[in-house]
Amino acid sequence: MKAMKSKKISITLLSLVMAISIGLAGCSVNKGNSNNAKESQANPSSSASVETAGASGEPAKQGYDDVLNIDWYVNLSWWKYPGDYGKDKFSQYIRDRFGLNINFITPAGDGSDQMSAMIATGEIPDLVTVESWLDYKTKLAKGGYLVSINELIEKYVPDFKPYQDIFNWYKESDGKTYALPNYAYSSQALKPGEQLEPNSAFTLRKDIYDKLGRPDISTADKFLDVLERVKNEVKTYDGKSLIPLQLYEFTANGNGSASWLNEYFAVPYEDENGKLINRTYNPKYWEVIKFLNEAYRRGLISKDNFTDKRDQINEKIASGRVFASLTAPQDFSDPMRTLYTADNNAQYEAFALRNYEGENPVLTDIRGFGWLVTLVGKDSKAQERIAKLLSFLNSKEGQHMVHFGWENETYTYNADGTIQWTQEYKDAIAKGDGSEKKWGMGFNLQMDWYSVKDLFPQPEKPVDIYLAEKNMKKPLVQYSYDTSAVGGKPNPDHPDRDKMLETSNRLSLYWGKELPRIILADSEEKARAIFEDTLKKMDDMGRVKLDKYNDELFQGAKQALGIERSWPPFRK
Amino acid sequence: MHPEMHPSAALKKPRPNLIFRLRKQWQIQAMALFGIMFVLVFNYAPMFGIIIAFKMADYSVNLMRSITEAPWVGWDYFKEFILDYQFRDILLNTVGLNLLQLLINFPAPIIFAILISEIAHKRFKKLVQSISYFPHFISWIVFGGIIINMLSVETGVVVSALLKLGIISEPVSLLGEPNAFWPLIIITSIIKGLGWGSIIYLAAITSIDPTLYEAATIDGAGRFRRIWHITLPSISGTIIVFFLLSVSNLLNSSFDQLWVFQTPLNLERSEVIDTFVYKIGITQMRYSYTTAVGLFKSAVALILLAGGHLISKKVAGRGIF
Repeated sequence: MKAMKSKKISITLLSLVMAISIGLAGCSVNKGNSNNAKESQANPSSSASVETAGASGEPAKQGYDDVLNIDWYVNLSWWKYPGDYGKDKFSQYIRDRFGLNINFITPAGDGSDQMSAMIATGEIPDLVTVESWLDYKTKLAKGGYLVSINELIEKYVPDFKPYQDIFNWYKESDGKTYALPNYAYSSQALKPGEQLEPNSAFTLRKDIYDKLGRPDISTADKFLDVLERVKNEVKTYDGKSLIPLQLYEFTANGNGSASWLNEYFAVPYEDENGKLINRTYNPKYWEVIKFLNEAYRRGLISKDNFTDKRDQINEKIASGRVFASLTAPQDFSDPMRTLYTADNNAQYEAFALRNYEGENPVLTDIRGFGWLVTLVGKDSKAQERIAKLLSFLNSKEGQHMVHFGWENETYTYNADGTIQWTQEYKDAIAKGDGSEKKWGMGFNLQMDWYSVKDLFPQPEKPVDIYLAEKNMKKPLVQYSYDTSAVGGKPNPDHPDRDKMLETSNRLSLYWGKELPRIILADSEEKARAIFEDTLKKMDDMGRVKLDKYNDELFQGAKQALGIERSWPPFRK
Repeated sequence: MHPEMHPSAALKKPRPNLIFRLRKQWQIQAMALFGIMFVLVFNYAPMFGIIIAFKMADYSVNLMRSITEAPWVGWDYFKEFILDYQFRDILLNTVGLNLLQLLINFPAPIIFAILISEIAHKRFKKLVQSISYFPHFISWIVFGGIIINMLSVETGVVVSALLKLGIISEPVSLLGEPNAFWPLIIITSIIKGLGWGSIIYLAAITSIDPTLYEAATIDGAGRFRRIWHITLPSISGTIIVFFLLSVSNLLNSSFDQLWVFQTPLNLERSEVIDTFVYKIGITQMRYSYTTAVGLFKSAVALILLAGGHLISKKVAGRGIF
């Protein structure tokens, strides 16, 4: 009897534990990935085309009476049209004004077989959207399957003037452009002298810095001294030992902080003749290594930093133990938010870390050439309407419609040009059941993000204001410039491309192996010796040829952008 | 033995042919059919792709077409792997780590099972079993994360304990020390796998006829003699089978465990064939090169398996096939 009873108790206990753990697993919070691409929220909706019966009540301005069905292939398996196609206001607007009924097609897997089939058979949908860094756009253009944007503009929309520098960037070898990007930043759109936020932003803890009296950190030496003061004078935060300097995790290819230090220490990447310099081999790079090695020897970098992964770094930041972080704040916005919620005073502020000579940093800003590009098939029967649609989407009217909706219905303009959501729109969002889909806003395949990014309503909660990139990175905007040519213009036809890719991977793996050893050296001389030895070994692995190849791509990039020099101090 | 009593002489009936037997057993064969199809589709059919080890298919966008269309390059990739500066370390780590696991992680569950079986107190026995099974169900990522926190130089419990015990004089990063890697792997895999691995041995032990033990006790055998002469020989069959399976796994590393503990600082002792193939093949898209490496590994594993089979036949009189 006793055995029966204890058996029953243990069985109930076990099933209770199981039920609780399953419940906990189900309730786990899904941490959404914060993309740098800032994609709008895509709600699930049917991607199949819907035959619309009859036109809507309001006559369009320059509308069409008939409707052509077209296919638009988007090479992202997770992409969904953000509204309710066929029923929402945006798709009805497209149908009425452009006479188009779009059938969006997405691949089931990664899309490579679909793209290869297209290239092999030549059967291209009316519109194709692929990632800008893949080779497909060149392959399709070369195969003669696309109609150039130049031709479309000439024939149907002569008033459409895309940003020339971006347009030229996507030129193929025949001088014509076949691709229109989204999220591209054009230097011509910026007001003269305007600067964008930098991509990275080294940050330090405002509360601890204030405690020390905000001492001078205008050179690397002075900064290291301040870090030492943090270690010896402030010592702890909330009972936990402080980590004066935090770097990214060490990966197989090196360390992200060492790469960012190139920018803060103003290591040039272009010489006076316009040739690309390999920054690691520039004599100024030694200052980066010396800085990291000295910081380690003085006990300012935690030994854990060399073996921690991103999760452990998140933990350290969230617990408040990190004073200065040589990272990009958008990578750590979640732990910073956690820390702020626990202690409103524990805030990070951006600062300009300078090299041993106290020179100004030269930072890369957030601009880019775009995320996705859209191509138009040569055999499409709706080229005229497609041209008009693309021209509309890229215009101010189009951009405001996809981002903000309809004036007085979903938003109103403020006096300074920024917008405010209407109560009707805010209510629809608050319902959380997709009622905002009836408008169909957020179509992101053709976006001019720069033109709208500052018009959205400002964040209202203190934590959002604190973490907004615009606010946190403000002290560094004066140092951030356009360095977009340094990555080079990709040339998929180059005969050595695969071999150079292999060399570059091999070198970066080797560098990843040696960098920790260099930083961990016991003395400056030892660090220097290992560093020189590593440089020599990389030379033996084919570094010189790789530099020459990268220089070729760099010159191609400068040509496409129409600039002589790319290194910002040369362009002042 | 008299010839007339020889079994085969009396029952010399012709064996029914294959088709007849299949038809008679069609229900059972149908159940097995799913398993056979699964193996054919997922294990045998992909083998055709191995030819890309001899073709130039690195960085290919469409791997299916490369299998048929890429040009041949012969033994180039095998040569490249053998001449790579990491080859010696990778091979040493793969074979060394697995041999060590064989030497230590293989006997451990057996000894543990024997120890558990000798516990008289029933509730305590069940308690020990349940606690020892528990780590098996946690994934290596979670378990590894816990261990990484424990090994932290400043806040970890392991380093503090070692300092207080006077074993080390100043804090050392165990995850950054190559020579600490192999012991770390062995210890963590024992913690995680000991309980679960002992289940099957425990099952074999409980099936031993208890009268044997009684007879031995009457004959004056102490506890250790009983274990040595009864328990071990009775489960020797199970031990041999598992031993041979472990030998065939000699070049397979437990990827999750190694990936979690591998850091740029201990690469010298932590880079094995599987992590190397993952880094170079999947993330860097060098498909042909890493297929060649994988083929190399399979060939060596096959040799080891054949060797183990022959040795066990000589020593224990039975092999695996």
